Amino acid sequence: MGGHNDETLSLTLNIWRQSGPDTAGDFETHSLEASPAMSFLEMLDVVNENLQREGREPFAFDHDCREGICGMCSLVINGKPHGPESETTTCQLHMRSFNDGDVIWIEPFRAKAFPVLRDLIIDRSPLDRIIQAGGYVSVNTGAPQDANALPIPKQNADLAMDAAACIGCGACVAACPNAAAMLFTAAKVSHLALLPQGAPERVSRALGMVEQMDAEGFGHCTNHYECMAACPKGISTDNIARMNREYLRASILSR
Amino acid sequence: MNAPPKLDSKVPSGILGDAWTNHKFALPLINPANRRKFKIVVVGTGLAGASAAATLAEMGYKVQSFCIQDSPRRAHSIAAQGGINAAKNYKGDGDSVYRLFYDTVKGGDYRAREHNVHRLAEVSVNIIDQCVAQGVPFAREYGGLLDNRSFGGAQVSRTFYARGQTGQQLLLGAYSALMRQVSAGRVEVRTRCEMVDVVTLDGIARGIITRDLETGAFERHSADAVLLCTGGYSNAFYLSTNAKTCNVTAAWRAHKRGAFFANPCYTQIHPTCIPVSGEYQSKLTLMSESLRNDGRVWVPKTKGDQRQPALIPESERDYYLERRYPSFGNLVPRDVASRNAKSVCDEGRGVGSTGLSVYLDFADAIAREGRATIEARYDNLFQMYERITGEDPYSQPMRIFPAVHYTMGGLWVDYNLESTLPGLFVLGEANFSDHGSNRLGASALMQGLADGYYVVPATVTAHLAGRKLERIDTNHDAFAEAEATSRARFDKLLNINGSRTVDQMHRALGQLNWDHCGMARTKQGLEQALKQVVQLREEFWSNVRVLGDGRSLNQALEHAGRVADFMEFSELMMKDALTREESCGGHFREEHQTAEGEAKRDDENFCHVAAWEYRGRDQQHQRHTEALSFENVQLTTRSYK
Amino acid sequence: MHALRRFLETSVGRKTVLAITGLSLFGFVIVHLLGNFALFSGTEAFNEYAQKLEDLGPVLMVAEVGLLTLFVVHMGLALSLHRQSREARPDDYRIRANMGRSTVASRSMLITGLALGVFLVIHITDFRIKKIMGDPAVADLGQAVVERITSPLGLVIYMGGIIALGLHLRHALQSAFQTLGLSHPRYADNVRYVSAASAALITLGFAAIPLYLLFTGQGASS
Ligand SMILES: Cc1cc2nc3c(=O)[nH]c(=O)nc-3n(C[C@H](O)[C@H](O)[C@H](O)COP(=O)(O)OP(=O)(O)OC[C@H]3O[C@@H](n4cnc5c(N)ncnc54)[C@H](O)[C@@H]3O)c2cc1C
Ligand code: FES
Repeated sequence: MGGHNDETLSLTLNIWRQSGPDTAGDFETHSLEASPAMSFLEMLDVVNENLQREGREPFAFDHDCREGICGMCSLVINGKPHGPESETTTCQLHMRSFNDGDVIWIEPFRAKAFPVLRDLIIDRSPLDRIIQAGGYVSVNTGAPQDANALPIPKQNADLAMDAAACIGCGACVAACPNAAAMLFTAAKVSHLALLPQGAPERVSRALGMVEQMDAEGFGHCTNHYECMAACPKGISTDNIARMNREYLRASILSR
Repeated sequence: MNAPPKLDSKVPSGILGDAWTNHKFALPLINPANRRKFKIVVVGTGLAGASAAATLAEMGYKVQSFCIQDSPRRAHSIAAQGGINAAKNYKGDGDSVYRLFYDTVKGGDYRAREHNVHRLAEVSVNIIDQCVAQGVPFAREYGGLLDNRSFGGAQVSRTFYARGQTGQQLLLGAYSALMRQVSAGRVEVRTRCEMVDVVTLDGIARGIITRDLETGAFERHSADAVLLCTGGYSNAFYLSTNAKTCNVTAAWRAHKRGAFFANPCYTQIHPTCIPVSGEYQSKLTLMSESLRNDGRVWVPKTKGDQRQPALIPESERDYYLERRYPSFGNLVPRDVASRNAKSVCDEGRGVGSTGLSVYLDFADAIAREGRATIEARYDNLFQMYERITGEDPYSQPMRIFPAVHYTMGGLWVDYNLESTLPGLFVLGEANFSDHGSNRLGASALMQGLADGYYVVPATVTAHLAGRKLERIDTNHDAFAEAEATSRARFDKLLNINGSRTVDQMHRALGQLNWDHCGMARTKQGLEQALKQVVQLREEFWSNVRVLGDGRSLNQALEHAGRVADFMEFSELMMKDALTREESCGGHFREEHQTAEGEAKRDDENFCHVAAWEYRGRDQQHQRHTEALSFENVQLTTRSYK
Repeated sequence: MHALRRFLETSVGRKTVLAITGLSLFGFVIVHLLGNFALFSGTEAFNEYAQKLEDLGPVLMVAEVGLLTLFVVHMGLALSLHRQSREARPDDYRIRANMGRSTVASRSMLITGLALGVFLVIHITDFRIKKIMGDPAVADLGQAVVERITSPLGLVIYMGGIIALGLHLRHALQSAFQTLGLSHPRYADNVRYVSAASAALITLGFAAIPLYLLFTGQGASS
């Protein structure tokens, strides 16, 4: 090709188009001149603006904070959830990670539990239901004891925070060859298992959340650790080991 | 129409420190067994909404909760980084409820209600206890106790934090409490479901109309009380640090049904954001203010100096904050730092390809303290900066520019957080209450949770038990009318079929607001902008293009509905800025400044809240005022020289 | 009982049983290998060892039934879990890239497992069943084994089985530790090394037997 200066990238985009949950979808091909300074979602914004000016409907894709924390954005980009950069959400990915002439495939996260609602948007409500099954501490709003009455070793607090950093985007499910939601579930089980506040409900939490995870139709974990590699927050599969332990313990202790 | 309701703030009398306790005692109680007979609609699942919905459900009320995102956990509160204030005085550095109260009133440039602020400072202490009990993993010291830091120039360390993700952790705490109530069957959460109108009956809010964003279906929900926890309106400026779906729709719809809008011109502009890189820019990213502790802000002395920063010798650099404010230097408050950045860029001395940024230089700090120290302090921020800009801040100065960040204005509420529309309560950033004309860092999270966990669960009884609420069903004409109006609005948007996209129109509006109602405002500019905004709105309604249909997921249509409301709202924001003939906090009128270019408050004429009443389509808004009296804090002029 | 059923109905519970049965089978593999090492000392030594096992009588029976059960349970669970995962993603990606953490071993667990199953059936019918039936071909078991594993076809099957075993173990060992929650960040890397090393050692151990026999000219007389 040639002829392009450093300032633009000529891209071929294959983007998933699907009008609704019950219809079949397929890829649609578009070409675009993008600036390396754009974020990936800004690049899609431009695609959508162009489409609308031509009288064609824009692609639907989820996004909100656009700074890597709300967990709303998704997308599988060239086969990788959240694209090629490690510990980077799609909204934080910038076009300078691509080269002039690249062909980019953009698909929704795929799992039976995450049906496509439209184009690149999926339904991730199963993740909320997993939390409903025990991802909380049962304490009513009121006047609990002073926050400093119960010191917590810094190391545990830090590990709990590592696990609690999960943004609930579902990339772990998307990356898992088995479409398992273990990393998501384990992150919450771990976060609370590491803190004394979570202790009283350890048993019911581990049992409830694991059972809900299965009921939602996710796959099982074969310890590929692809989830950890895809996780934009770098959450470790050590949490999965911890959840397995919690679950085993709970099964032995439960009645 | 009835006579306009008076602005009765319902502030309790008596000693400031006892007011909230006494007020709670005076409020009616509802027997726990009777609570489930009341249904409360909570719109929004940010810190304010999630905490309110969870708490009310725990108390036994029937709760229905709504949000735009696909999960309540994704509300914009999740993005808050820095921390949350609380007057715990764990550091023993002389903090107290009174000091937090005092700092907040002063920081708000004396435009907040003393009693509200004092209550906020009081309950701040309980918030931390509650969050820790929920398992929020706040940062801790080696001894296992909670760590605090000083934030936003505060002279005490009262800010609790969870790495750079405090908002996320607090929201996940409130969200988990909410999820617990969902599993207990006491809350129904509706995600991807946008409130598009409030339904009133006999002048009382009795429900809402929503649009299901997946199916486009309009739905009617009746309620005994409606809580709006729908966040701020920074996105009226298009570019802001807020999440893309942040909007004014819920507040604006309620406003048109009778809730007064207070101080819409109070917007906060944050000085350390990553600058715009091109026309496609969709939002701005905030970087922690803490960077100004070590970074030095400068621009070249000469206009249009295009040299690389490293090639500009020391003598040709203007460290303008240090020059103008020798004692505070780079640490002047947000509004001052922002305004100065704008003025040097207006002079043509801005840097970067757009000329709309200033340098924040760490070279001296790195030379002084070593790279390792600077890395330890800011590495995550530096990485974020590099990820977005592709520039390495260790080897060249960062470029920063101010961005709209927070809106102090919002629906007017009384001490009970009830708006002028009875039965409609407003919480969190959506109300106007506690920050006056300028919010201190780490205080928004505190306010959202105070409102949701502690204030409204107590005060809502004033309405529920105090008024006679007939049973209402959604077949009532009031619901039919509201639904039909909403439906017609969306149908109309789909049928204009003009030539400009919603995003284009939104950008145009944002530019107008930024240019004339942003960091510095003038009478002339505002008057001109007021004319332009009316034209823009007319163009919007005749020339916008929204494709697709209303019966399925249609993001452009959602966006169009929100932009339509921003268009109307912006006019009010400008009007408010025009009528407030003074400078205070986030509102800077160039006509009202001291000889040195500092904000000049006019306490004699403007020590009041301006609350605007909507009086119908073809009528002008009416401006009401609520006088502010300062009995506990002395009115003084801020100075950072 | 209820708790057990509940346990076995979840993926994590079934995985736990999978890991425990797997580790037990791993134990058996080690014992088997050590037994086979008797071949290094000649077929007599091997036959003596085999006879000792035979002499255990009912104990051996119980052990064999136990092993078979372990095997069937292991295989059955693996298949049921596999089905769950296939159902969990009915529409696959058009383009699928590896995120870089999975390995050939981890991705081929089902295949290596099935291959091991086939190998085992051949292996058992060749020796154990014949032995039980009193087939004269295996009267001198040591000799029969030697001939079998050094014959061209036998060698290929044997080596195929061993490679499948090696790959399977390569992923399985650390995976079992992870599943049982026995991995701890501090030891995780060690567990990974140890399991890779033991998988390699076992593979080499098994492979060494026919190679040794061939090199020392004790192979099938053909
Ligand atoms: C980048 C950034 C950093 C910040 N850092 C800090 C900090 O360190 N400390 C601090 O104190 N403050 C900080 N703030 C401010 C603070 O985060 C917000 O003011 C606060 O979180 C607002 O909470 P909220 O509950 O009022 O609203 P939000 O969290 O904005 O929630 C609004 C909710 O309303 C819903 N909603 C809106 N409209 C509708 C509708 N029409 N129908 C249905 N649902 C609707 C949304 O879906 C959402 O659930 C920061 C803000 C930003 C932008
Ligand atoms: S849009 Fe919020 S994480 Fe990407």
